[in-house]
Amino acid sequence: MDDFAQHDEDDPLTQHNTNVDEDPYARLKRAFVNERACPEILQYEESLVDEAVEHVDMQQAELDDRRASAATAEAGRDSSASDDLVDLLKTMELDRVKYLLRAYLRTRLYKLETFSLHIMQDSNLFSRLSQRERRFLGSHTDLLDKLHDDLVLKHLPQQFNSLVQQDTLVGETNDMVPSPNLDTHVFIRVRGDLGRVNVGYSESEPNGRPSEVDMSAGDQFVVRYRPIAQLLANGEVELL
Amino acid sequence: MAADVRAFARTATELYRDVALAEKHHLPPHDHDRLKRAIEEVKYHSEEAQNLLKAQEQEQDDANGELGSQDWTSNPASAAAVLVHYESILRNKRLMLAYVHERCQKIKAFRWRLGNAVPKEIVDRMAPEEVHFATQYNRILSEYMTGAGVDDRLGNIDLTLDATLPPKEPYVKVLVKRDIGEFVTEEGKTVHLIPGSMHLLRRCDAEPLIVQGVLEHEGYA
Repeated sequence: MDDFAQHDEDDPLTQHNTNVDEDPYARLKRAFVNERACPEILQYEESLVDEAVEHVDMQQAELDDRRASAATAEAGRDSSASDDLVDLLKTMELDRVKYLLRAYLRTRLYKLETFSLHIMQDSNLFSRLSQRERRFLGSHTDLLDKLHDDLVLKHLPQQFNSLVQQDTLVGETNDMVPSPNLDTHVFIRVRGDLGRVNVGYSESEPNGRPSEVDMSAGDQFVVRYRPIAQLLANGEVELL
Repeated sequence: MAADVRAFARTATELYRDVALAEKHHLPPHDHDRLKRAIEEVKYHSEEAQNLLKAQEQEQDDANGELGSQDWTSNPASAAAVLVHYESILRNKRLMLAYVHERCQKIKAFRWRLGNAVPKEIVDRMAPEEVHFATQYNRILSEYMTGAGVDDRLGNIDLTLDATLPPKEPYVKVLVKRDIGEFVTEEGKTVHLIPGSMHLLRRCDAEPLIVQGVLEHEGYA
């Protein structure tokens, strides 16, 4: 990720939730890194993706124009070296934005495939997806269902023919649905002063005690994902 | 069949091992026979367990006439047998599903690595159900990437690109592996891609060919 470091220098770490003034490239990069490092699927950044696509289209059109006019001008005189350099830089920038965009979408698609059934069952997770992702997830789950059913499940005794339950006679819970481990640890960077934050266990989790740390802008921590999930959703911390 | 059935999920274990130990990009032939045998074993275990349960019920009805009471203390041997049969069923089931799942992952990986053109020798190693899955997966992935039926601004985006690392330079150095003759770049220039020769191509031109295995990425300019 070092390649993108120069874009981070002027990253206003002290800002709270105010993504608006920030460079769209830095925001897209953050969306990608967050998604990549996060165990569960995050809210789809629709406006950000739209903005990036618009930017790419605009740049591409501009480049095409320049090439076309350069081609006509070339007959008359040598194209200037500085023009070539500008072209090169623009092409590079375009490639980077496209790469980031694809990597972002691919990371999400990977999570959709891995946790298909889990996301389908959870309306909160499902609501985080884009239109395309919803369509894909729906068909993907059907396909998986059909494949496992045709090859194995429909040949088994009825009691054992469910894809999501080991034994349909024992309890109602789906005990065969893979889900992400939300208790895994993640690296975070704090984006604004947050004061004391509980990164231990909450009251609803009986197996541990709360433990608080001071979070100020720019601090970095390794913490369990679950307690900071909401902070990440609010944009108050970012993953590394 | 009773003799080999008593192996308690050994068939399913062998089945799974076959795919689990295979090399990353290798898909072993679909083992229909073994899968069928594992399914038969599940049925056998299920029947045996049912018989034991019925016998136990019968015995208890005779003893005290009380329906539904479950007192296995007088008969620990069949209690244990029922449990072992039950666990064998679950183990078999999980192993078979893992087998299908693992193969499914490999089949998906082919789509990402080779595009639509999956070679015939790989298709031959798939079960008909898997071939169907591969076709359908190809369809839904293409639908996602072209954005068919959805109204958004993303347009057409090919996610199978990016065989190389994040872009550092607009040009990449590539080695030609397969002869595809003349190639016209996006800029409208013609390149002769002769096997063994090295070229400096623009990323966007080189990427699809790298994914197809025509070119090999040698480094940055």
